[in-house]
Amino acid sequence: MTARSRRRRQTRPPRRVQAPTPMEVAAPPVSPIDPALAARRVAVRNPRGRAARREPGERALTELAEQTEVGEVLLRSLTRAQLMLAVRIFAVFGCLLLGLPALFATHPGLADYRILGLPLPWLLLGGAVYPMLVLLGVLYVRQSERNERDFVEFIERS
Amino acid sequence: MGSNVTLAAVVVSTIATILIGAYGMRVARTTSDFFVASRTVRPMWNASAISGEYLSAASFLGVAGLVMKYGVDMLWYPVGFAAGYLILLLLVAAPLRRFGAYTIPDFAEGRLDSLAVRRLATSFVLLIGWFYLLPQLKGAGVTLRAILGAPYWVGVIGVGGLITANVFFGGMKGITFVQAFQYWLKVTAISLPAIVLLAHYHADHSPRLTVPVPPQFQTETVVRVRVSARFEVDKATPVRVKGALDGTVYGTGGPSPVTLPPGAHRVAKGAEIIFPAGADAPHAVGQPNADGRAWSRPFGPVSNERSHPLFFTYSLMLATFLGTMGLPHILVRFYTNPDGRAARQTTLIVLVLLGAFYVFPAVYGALGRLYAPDLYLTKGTDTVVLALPGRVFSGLGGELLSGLVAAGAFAAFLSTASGLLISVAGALAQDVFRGQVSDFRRGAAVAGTVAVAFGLLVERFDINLLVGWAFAIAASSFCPLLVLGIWWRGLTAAGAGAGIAVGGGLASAAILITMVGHPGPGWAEALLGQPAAWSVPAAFLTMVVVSRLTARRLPTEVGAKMVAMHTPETLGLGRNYRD
Repeated sequence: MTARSRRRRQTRPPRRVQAPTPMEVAAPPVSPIDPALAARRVAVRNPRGRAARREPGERALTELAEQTEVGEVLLRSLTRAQLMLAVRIFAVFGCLLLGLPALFATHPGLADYRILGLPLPWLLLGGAVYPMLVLLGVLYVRQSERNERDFVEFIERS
Repeated sequence: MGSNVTLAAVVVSTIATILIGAYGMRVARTTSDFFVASRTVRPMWNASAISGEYLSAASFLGVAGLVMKYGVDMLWYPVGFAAGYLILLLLVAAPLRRFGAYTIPDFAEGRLDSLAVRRLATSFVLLIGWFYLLPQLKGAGVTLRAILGAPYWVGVIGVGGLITANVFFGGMKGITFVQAFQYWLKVTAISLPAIVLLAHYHADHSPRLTVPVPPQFQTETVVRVRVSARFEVDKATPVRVKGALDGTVYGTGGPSPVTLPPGAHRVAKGAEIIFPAGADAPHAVGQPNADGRAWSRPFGPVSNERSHPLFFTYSLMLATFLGTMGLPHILVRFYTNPDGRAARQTTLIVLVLLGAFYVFPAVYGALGRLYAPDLYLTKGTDTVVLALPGRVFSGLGGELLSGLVAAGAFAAFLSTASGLLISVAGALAQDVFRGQVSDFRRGAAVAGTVAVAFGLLVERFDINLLVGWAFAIAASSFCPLLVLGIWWRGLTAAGAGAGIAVGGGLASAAILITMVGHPGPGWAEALLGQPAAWSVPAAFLTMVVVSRLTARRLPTEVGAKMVAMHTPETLGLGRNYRD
């Protein structure tokens, strides 16, 4: 696998930064490459295109594009992750918000509590709800984008 | 009120709207520009535009008025209006953008390969769009009467004509700029006076609003009656009157003293009643003013008017949470995002922008109880946002603040009504006419005319009630279509069509019965008055069951469509199902 990938690397058009071998990194004074640059891992994945047709990642992409059974399993893994995430966030939202009317109805005494001079129901419905909605939204966006990044990486690697 | 400053503010806000629309007009060239602004709008702009379009007369005026009248329970309206975007973010935003259709009918046709479902969806776009236009035009009529003393029809025809012309000439590119501008105008117009009012309240030693007494006049107050009214007082109240009261004309020279006995009274248009400081505020006949303690607690005054307030609250929550995604003028904006990620970012910013706005209407509602209790008498609580700055501050400061809120209120009708008109005109152009720019203009003209005609008829219906019904129909028809269409492979055209027809039909029928028939107190009133709690599950259930029964007739390429909706654009697997 390593030999194959090295061979392929050589056949590619020259890149601005060449990936250093471990030995080159270990001998900094003689290397013509800037050590800071050399120490950084450099991705050498091919850009998608005709040249990349035979790459493994392209195969998974084709499976997806042509909806083979494998492709369908791959897609289901993503949609299930996204839907479960939505359901989890909705569950939190539901517990916090859908529970309030029932709570107010069964515990009328809550209206007597005051925070910052405001009765609790006013504070919750008039202000506190909105930062909570934004927070749940931020959590969702971050996690859903992570799900998608993982999916893309998985497809391009497999 | 009715001052030159207010008039100037309304005129300036209107001219700014037209100018920004005209600027956009030069940019808009092709059909695609007109429909979705070429999908080049950045998230911040787009989020401002969505919020600007969304914050309607119901948000700007209605919420404060309801809070003043019914107290804390009414805060569920703005909470639901905002939370709808969280649900939209969770279930709809990115996949729908990736699917790449312009409108809900486009989505229905693209996803289900069915012209029949498309036609059904179009008919509900028209129904919801027109239904939601009515309260906007009503708000316009009421506002122009409140600030300028103009008759109701002047506002309806004036604002209706203005937005029709703007959409006719500008297309959507112009409207995106206009809408973004409108958001910032509205948030300034509601927040700045609210902060000044709160400062005044604090300087006034923060009188308690939750004590068990009815609202009272803080100072000697002159009530000028613009529309003849019937009101009740609960105990004998000494006042001074000029004009006709209970059939007698008083005070031809100056206001003459009268003691109002407990009971109902009728006051004629143009009369003036001067209440002394400390007097209890009269209330509209049959609607007793809640004392401060009941008013400030959940399930307070609402319980007197609604049979099952807890059911109503939940049903309203369901309608607003799930209805937002089905509003035709909101979804079309998500196609102006460049990709699915941007659609999510946009929705998130919308949540922030709406949250920033919705903190303020409650301030007007609460302080209105203290400083403008005469609005209970004149049934004018819907105009408390407009009236309050002028009541609390005299002189130029008060006039400037009044002008600012008037400009904001105007922005509220202009922006929401424009967005709705674009959707209705677009649906007409694509499905009833043929889909060229000239057809879009014809659609705009027809849609505007119909809306104005019906807008003249709805004066007696409450703004927020109409809006809540539009949400209920959207939640019962388009929410199941979108959610199941995006997340469930098994949805068939027959299932979707049956679900839309059953859910949307039941909700519309319930609302029609409530509007025309006024069912008496009891479960019938509760179930028909806000049908979302049962019509939404009915729609979902119908869609699933009928889809299962017709499972052999799945639409073509379901797999490819799921890939297009759910995979990130970086993989390049998406396919535009419209272009």
